[in-house]
Amino acid sequence: MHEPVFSYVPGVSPLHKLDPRTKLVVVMLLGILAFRIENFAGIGALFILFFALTLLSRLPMTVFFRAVRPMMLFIIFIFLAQLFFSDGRPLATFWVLQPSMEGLENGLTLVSRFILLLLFAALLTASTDPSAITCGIERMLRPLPLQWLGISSFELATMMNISIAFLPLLFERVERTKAAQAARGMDFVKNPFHSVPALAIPLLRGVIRDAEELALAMESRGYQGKRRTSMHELSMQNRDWIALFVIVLFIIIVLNL
Amino acid sequence: MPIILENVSFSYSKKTPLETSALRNINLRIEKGEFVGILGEKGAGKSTLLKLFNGLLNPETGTVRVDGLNTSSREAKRRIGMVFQQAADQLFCRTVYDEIAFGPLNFGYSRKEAEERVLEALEAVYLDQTMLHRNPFSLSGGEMQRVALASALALRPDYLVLDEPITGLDPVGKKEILETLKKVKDEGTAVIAVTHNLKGFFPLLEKIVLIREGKIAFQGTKEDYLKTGCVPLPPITSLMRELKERGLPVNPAVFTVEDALQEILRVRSVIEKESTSNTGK
Repeated sequence: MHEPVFSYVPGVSPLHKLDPRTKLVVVMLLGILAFRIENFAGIGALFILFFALTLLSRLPMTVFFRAVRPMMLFIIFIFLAQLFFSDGRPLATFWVLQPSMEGLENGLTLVSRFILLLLFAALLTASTDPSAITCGIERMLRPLPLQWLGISSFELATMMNISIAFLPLLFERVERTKAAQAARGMDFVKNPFHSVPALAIPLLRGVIRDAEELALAMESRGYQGKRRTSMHELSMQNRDWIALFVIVLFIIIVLNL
Repeated sequence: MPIILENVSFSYSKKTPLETSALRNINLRIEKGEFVGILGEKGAGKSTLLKLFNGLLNPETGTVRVDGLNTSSREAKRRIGMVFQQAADQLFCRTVYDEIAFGPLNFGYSRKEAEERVLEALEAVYLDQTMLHRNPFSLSGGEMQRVALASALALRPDYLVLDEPITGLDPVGKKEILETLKKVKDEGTAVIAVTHNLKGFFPLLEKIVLIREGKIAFQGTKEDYLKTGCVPLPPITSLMRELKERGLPVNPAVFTVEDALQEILRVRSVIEKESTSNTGK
């Protein structure tokens, strides 16, 4: 079983109650802010905001740190790269490597930015039902003239929903196909030239057949990719406007720190 | 008003070297409230026929009308509910609720109306409301198929079209689906099923359409079908027919083991009575 990363944790906190659009906009703004600020005070302020929001979400901290864990190797790598390969005042010398003061600073800010981005994204996904997120994205895209590209925001929303639903099933199918081939003596490590097609061909065939079946089943139930009614009718409440106002205020303050 | 097919033909991969004729010159009429079984061997054209009913395929020649409507019209699509074989391939929403509401929302019904229909359809397939917030992929095969059935019923169709609805289900799952179909039929919806599972379906069928190599080989009531001596038949009916041909005076028109037992016992008591009256003489 895969550990759920970026998964929804149902709840009734003020954060759960916010409109998905508010949360999407806030996360986007905070993401931009994280990459705009240069000083440690600003980064500290963002971490404080994150902890405040976590308290507000009434969710255990582990939910969010789980989102950072898979990226840890990458994060450590960029930190070390910054530390050792930035020019500046040397801190010490280890053989040919010279960590510098500037490198340390650059590394810390860059790593903090990535971690903040992941944490805020995890906050969004943990406190918002995925179908509400797609509904929010759909509603935000609706004013765009997408029909010029031959698509509608409704189609995009359906695509997102289906992708979210079918990803775990795809992994399951990979495992099943792998087991079936291994049962017939396929060694996946020894001969990749044989094993990759042996895995890919049944997988693709199955996926395409499933997609066809699903399309027929959806069409039979009247789907036509145009405007349809929705179970989540979104409406911005006072709390959403207040939240947006507070965040904008926060951003202005942090930028002037 | 019924579903009427007039002189319908259909070929796959038209105007390519792979062109194959699937159906030829089909004339068919299906009335509201009937329970119709479409029988035939693999590749006979049964599934193609079903797809013509709700406009998933369009006939090459001839016409298909649902209650007088063209199959490409929205209303015709609403009147025909369709369920395919593999339930797992038809579902995609995160909850059973969203899955069943998908159809009504596509037709633009309000949230309240959609919710009403979800609950109604759920009841029709004997699922309870605790299911609504579960992930459809966490359900058993029989339950999944019932969710697929409910999502078709949520549109309140006049005709329910099913392609091998109980293939691959365990005995309990099969029984559940068959019971649901019987109830749906009793409430006035026509049920049209392509099936190989005659053991389960035959007792329920009223009308039979037999397709052989893209043509209708038989269409009519179940009683007439038995008289023609056509196959396929449920195993128990084949046995009874064989017994009759070997000289045992049984009525072969039985479709369940229970009825066959009763019939054989009846014949035995008749024979016993005759032999005692013979020895009495």
